[in-house]
Amino acid sequence: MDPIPGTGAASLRALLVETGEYLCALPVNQVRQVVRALPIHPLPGASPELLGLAEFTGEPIPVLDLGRLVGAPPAARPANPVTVVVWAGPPHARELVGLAADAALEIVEIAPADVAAAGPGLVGGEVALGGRPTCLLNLEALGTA
Amino acid sequence: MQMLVVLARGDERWGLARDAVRAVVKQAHGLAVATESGPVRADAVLDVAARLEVRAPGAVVERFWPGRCLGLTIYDGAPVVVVSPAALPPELRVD
Repeated sequence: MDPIPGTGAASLRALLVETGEYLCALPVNQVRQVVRALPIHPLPGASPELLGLAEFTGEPIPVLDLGRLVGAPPAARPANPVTVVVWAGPPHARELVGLAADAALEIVEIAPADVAAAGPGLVGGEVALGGRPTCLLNLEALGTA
Repeated sequence: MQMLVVLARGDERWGLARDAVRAVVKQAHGLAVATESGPVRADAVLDVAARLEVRAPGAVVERFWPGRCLGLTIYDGAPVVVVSPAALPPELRVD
Protein backbone atom coordinates (compact mmCIF):
# COMPACT_ATOMS: atom_id res chain seq x y z
CA MET A 1 0.00 0.00 0.00
CA ASP A 2 1.15 3.50 -0.78
CA PRO A 3 2.17 5.05 2.55
CA ILE A 4 0.26 8.18 1.61
CA PRO A 5 -2.99 6.94 0.11
CA GLY A 6 -4.16 8.50 -3.10
CA THR A 7 -0.97 10.38 -3.79
CA GLY A 8 2.28 9.74 -5.51
CA ALA A 9 3.87 12.75 -3.93
CA ALA A 10 7.06 12.81 -1.92
CA SER A 11 5.15 14.53 0.87
CA LEU A 12 1.55 15.30 1.58
CA ARG A 13 0.02 18.63 2.48
CA ALA A 14 -2.82 17.91 4.82
CA LEU A 15 -5.43 19.85 6.74
CA LEU A 16 -5.35 18.89 10.38
CA VAL A 17 -8.84 18.45 11.80
CA GLU A 18 -9.82 17.77 15.39
CA THR A 19 -12.71 15.46 16.19
CA GLY A 20 -13.31 14.31 19.73
CA GLU A 21 -9.98 13.22 21.12
CA TYR A 22 -8.56 12.43 17.69
CA LEU A 23 -6.68 14.39 15.11
CA CYS A 24 -7.27 13.61 11.45
CA ALA A 25 -5.17 14.68 8.49
CA LEU A 26 -7.11 15.33 5.28
CA PRO A 27 -5.24 15.73 1.99
CA VAL A 28 -5.48 19.42 1.17
CA ASN A 29 -6.16 18.78 -2.50
CA GLN A 30 -9.37 17.02 -1.50
CA VAL A 31 -10.61 19.77 0.81
CA ARG A 32 -13.08 22.09 -0.87
CA GLN A 33 -13.92 24.41 2.02
CA VAL A 34 -14.21 24.69 5.77
CA VAL A 35 -17.42 26.34 6.89
CA ARG A 36 -19.35 26.95 10.06
CA ALA A 37 -21.51 23.88 10.76
CA LEU A 38 -24.03 23.50 7.96
CA PRO A 39 -27.67 23.10 9.01
CA ILE A 40 -28.35 19.38 8.77
CA HIS A 41 -31.56 17.67 7.75
CA PRO A 42 -31.47 14.16 9.27
CA LEU A 43 -32.34 11.17 7.13
CA PRO A 44 -34.56 8.78 9.09
CA GLY A 45 -33.10 5.31 9.33
CA ALA A 46 -29.59 6.35 8.37
CA SER A 47 -26.54 4.82 9.98
CA PRO A 48 -25.21 6.89 12.90
CA GLU A 49 -22.26 8.03 10.78
CA LEU A 50 -24.59 9.85 8.40
CA LEU A 51 -25.87 12.91 10.25
CA GLY A 52 -28.07 13.92 7.34
CA LEU A 53 -28.13 16.13 4.29
CA ALA A 54 -27.22 19.77 3.95
CA GLU A 55 -27.32 22.46 1.32
CA PHE A 56 -23.89 23.63 0.17
CA THR A 57 -23.63 26.23 -2.61
CA GLY A 58 -27.02 25.18 -3.89
CA GLU A 59 -26.25 21.47 -3.95
CA PRO A 60 -27.38 18.72 -1.58
CA ILE A 61 -24.50 16.97 0.15
CA PRO A 62 -24.38 14.22 2.79
CA VAL A 63 -22.79 15.19 6.09
CA LEU A 64 -20.92 12.54 8.02
CA ASP A 65 -19.82 12.51 11.65
CA LEU A 66 -16.05 12.42 11.32
CA GLY A 67 -15.60 11.27 14.92
CA ARG A 68 -17.82 8.24 14.42
CA LEU A 69 -16.13 7.40 11.14
CA VAL A 70 -12.74 7.11 12.80
CA GLY A 71 -14.02 5.74 16.12
CA ALA A 72 -12.97 8.75 18.15
CA PRO A 73 -14.20 9.02 21.74
CA PRO A 74 -16.46 12.08 21.87
CA ALA A 75 -15.06 15.29 23.30
CA ALA A 76 -16.62 17.21 26.13
CA ARG A 77 -18.38 19.45 23.60
CA PRO A 78 -19.50 17.23 20.73
CA ALA A 79 -21.30 20.01 18.90
CA ASN A 80 -19.30 19.65 15.69
CA PRO A 81 -19.09 23.41 15.12
CA VAL A 82 -17.43 23.15 11.72
CA THR A 83 -18.14 21.27 8.52
CA VAL A 84 -15.19 20.36 6.33
CA VAL A 85 -16.44 19.92 2.78
CA VAL A 86 -14.26 17.43 0.92
CA TRP A 87 -14.12 15.55 -2.33
CA ALA A 88 -14.65 11.87 -1.51
CA GLY A 89 -14.63 8.69 -3.52
CA PRO A 90 -12.41 7.50 -6.34
CA PRO A 91 -11.35 10.02 -9.00
CA HIS A 92 -13.85 8.74 -11.57
CA ALA A 93 -16.79 9.04 -9.15
CA ARG A 94 -15.86 11.67 -6.65
CA GLU A 95 -18.54 13.57 -4.77
CA LEU A 96 -18.76 16.41 -2.29
CA VAL A 97 -19.26 15.30 1.29
CA GLY A 98 -19.41 17.27 4.52
CA LEU A 99 -17.44 16.06 7.53
CA ALA A 100 -18.73 17.39 10.84
CA ALA A 101 -15.82 18.07 13.16
CA ASP A 102 -14.72 20.09 16.18
CA ALA A 103 -12.08 22.29 14.54
CA ALA A 104 -9.84 22.75 11.53
CA LEU A 105 -6.44 23.52 12.99
CA GLU A 106 -3.66 24.00 10.45
CA ILE A 107 -2.07 22.75 7.27
CA VAL A 108 0.89 20.43 7.79
CA GLU A 109 3.44 18.63 5.63
CA ILE A 110 3.62 14.90 6.18
CA ALA A 111 6.61 12.88 5.01
CA PRO A 112 5.94 9.31 3.80
CA ALA A 113 8.60 7.96 6.13
CA ASP A 114 6.61 9.19 9.12
CA VAL A 115 3.43 7.33 8.14
CA ALA A 116 2.52 3.89 9.44
CA ALA A 117 0.15 2.30 6.94
CA ALA A 118 -3.11 1.21 8.55
CA GLY A 119 -5.07 -0.58 5.85
CA PRO A 120 -7.32 -0.14 2.84
CA GLY A 121 -10.17 1.70 4.61
CA LEU A 122 -10.84 5.31 5.46
CA VAL A 123 -7.94 5.49 7.90
CA GLY A 124 -5.14 4.90 5.44
CA GLY A 125 -2.32 5.54 7.83
CA GLU A 126 -1.25 6.87 11.18
CA VAL A 127 1.32 9.50 11.99
CA ALA A 128 2.40 11.33 15.13
CA LEU A 129 2.10 15.10 14.80
CA GLY A 130 3.21 17.25 17.67
CA GLY A 131 3.24 14.17 19.86
CA ARG A 132 -0.40 13.35 19.12
CA PRO A 133 -1.43 10.30 17.11
CA THR A 134 -3.14 11.39 13.93
CA CYS A 135 -5.28 9.44 11.46
CA LEU A 136 -4.32 10.05 7.86
CA LEU A 137 -7.57 9.76 5.96
CA ASN A 138 -7.95 8.11 2.59
CA LEU A 139 -11.02 9.95 1.32
CA GLU A 140 -11.13 7.84 -1.81
CA ALA A 141 -12.36 4.98 0.40
CA LEU A 142 -15.18 6.96 1.99
CA GLY A 143 -18.01 5.78 -0.21
CA THR A 144 -16.92 2.19 -0.44
CA ALA A 145 -18.22 -0.57 1.78
CA MET B 1 -34.44 18.87 -14.82
CA GLN B 2 -37.17 16.72 -13.37
CA MET B 3 -40.76 17.55 -12.54
CA LEU B 4 -41.36 16.60 -8.92
CA VAL B 5 -44.07 16.66 -6.31
CA VAL B 6 -42.34 17.86 -3.14
CA LEU B 7 -43.68 16.58 0.17
CA ALA B 8 -42.99 17.44 3.79
CA ARG B 9 -43.07 14.64 6.33
CA GLY B 10 -41.77 15.49 9.78
CA ASP B 11 -38.64 17.57 9.32
CA GLU B 12 -37.75 15.98 6.01
CA ARG B 13 -38.59 16.78 2.44
CA TRP B 14 -39.23 14.10 -0.12
CA GLY B 15 -39.74 14.15 -3.85
CA LEU B 16 -41.86 11.97 -6.11
CA ALA B 17 -41.85 12.01 -9.88
CA ARG B 18 -44.78 14.17 -10.98
CA ASP B 19 -45.91 11.54 -13.45
CA ALA B 20 -46.26 8.95 -10.69
CA VAL B 21 -48.75 11.04 -8.67
CA ARG B 22 -52.46 10.74 -9.37
CA ALA B 23 -54.12 12.66 -6.54
CA VAL B 24 -53.73 14.12 -3.09
CA VAL B 25 -56.29 13.03 -0.49
CA LYS B 26 -56.80 14.82 2.82
CA GLN B 27 -56.95 12.50 5.80
CA ALA B 28 -57.60 12.89 9.51
CA HIS B 29 -53.85 13.16 10.14
CA GLY B 30 -52.10 14.74 7.19
CA LEU B 31 -52.35 13.75 3.57
CA ALA B 32 -52.19 10.66 1.45
CA VAL B 33 -50.70 11.06 -1.99
CA ALA B 34 -52.18 8.54 -4.40
CA THR B 35 -49.62 7.08 -6.78
CA GLU B 36 -49.55 4.29 -9.28
CA SER B 37 -47.87 2.11 -6.65
CA GLY B 38 -50.12 2.99 -3.71
CA PRO B 39 -50.53 5.80 -1.19
CA VAL B 40 -47.73 7.92 0.23
CA ARG B 41 -48.02 9.59 3.62
CA ALA B 42 -47.24 13.30 3.92
CA ASP B 43 -47.82 16.18 6.29
CA ALA B 44 -48.00 18.70 3.48
CA VAL B 45 -47.50 19.05 -0.24
CA LEU B 46 -45.04 21.88 -0.81
CA ASP B 47 -45.16 21.88 -4.60
CA VAL B 48 -47.03 19.85 -7.18
CA ALA B 49 -44.86 20.70 -10.15
CA ALA B 50 -41.38 21.73 -9.13
CA ARG B 51 -38.81 21.68 -11.93
CA LEU B 52 -35.64 20.72 -10.12
CA GLU B 53 -32.15 19.59 -10.99
CA VAL B 54 -31.79 16.13 -9.47
CA ARG B 55 -28.40 14.55 -9.03
CA ALA B 56 -27.50 10.96 -8.31
CA PRO B 57 -27.41 10.15 -4.59
CA GLY B 58 -23.75 9.17 -4.61
CA ALA B 59 -21.93 6.33 -2.92
CA VAL B 60 -21.95 7.88 0.55
CA VAL B 61 -25.74 8.08 0.81
CA GLU B 62 -26.07 4.62 -0.70
CA ARG B 63 -23.64 3.25 1.86
CA PHE B 64 -25.07 4.89 4.97
CA TRP B 65 -28.80 5.10 4.20
CA PRO B 66 -30.64 1.81 3.68
CA GLY B 67 -33.50 3.33 1.73
CA ARG B 68 -33.71 3.44 -2.04
CA CYS B 69 -32.81 6.97 -3.11
CA LEU B 70 -33.38 7.92 -6.73
CA GLY B 71 -31.63 11.24 -6.37
CA LEU B 72 -31.09 14.40 -4.34
CA THR B 73 -32.06 17.97 -4.99
CA ILE B 74 -32.66 21.28 -3.25
CA TYR B 75 -36.07 22.86 -2.84
CA ASP B 76 -36.38 26.26 -1.18
CA GLY B 77 -32.93 25.92 0.35
CA ALA B 78 -33.42 22.49 1.87
CA PRO B 79 -32.38 19.03 0.67
CA VAL B 80 -34.99 16.77 -0.91
CA VAL B 81 -34.67 13.01 -1.19
CA VAL B 82 -36.28 11.68 -4.35
CA VAL B 83 -37.86 8.28 -3.81
CA SER B 84 -39.89 5.77 -5.76
CA PRO B 85 -43.51 5.17 -4.68
CA ALA B 86 -42.73 1.48 -5.16
CA ALA B 87 -39.90 1.51 -2.60
CA LEU B 88 -40.85 3.97 0.13
CA PRO B 89 -38.98 4.50 3.37
CA PRO B 90 -41.07 3.64 6.46
CA GLU B 91 -41.77 7.33 7.17
CA LEU B 92 -43.78 7.66 3.99
CA ARG B 93 -45.71 4.42 4.12
CA VAL B 94 -49.43 4.36 4.86
CA ASP B 95 -50.07 1.41 7.16
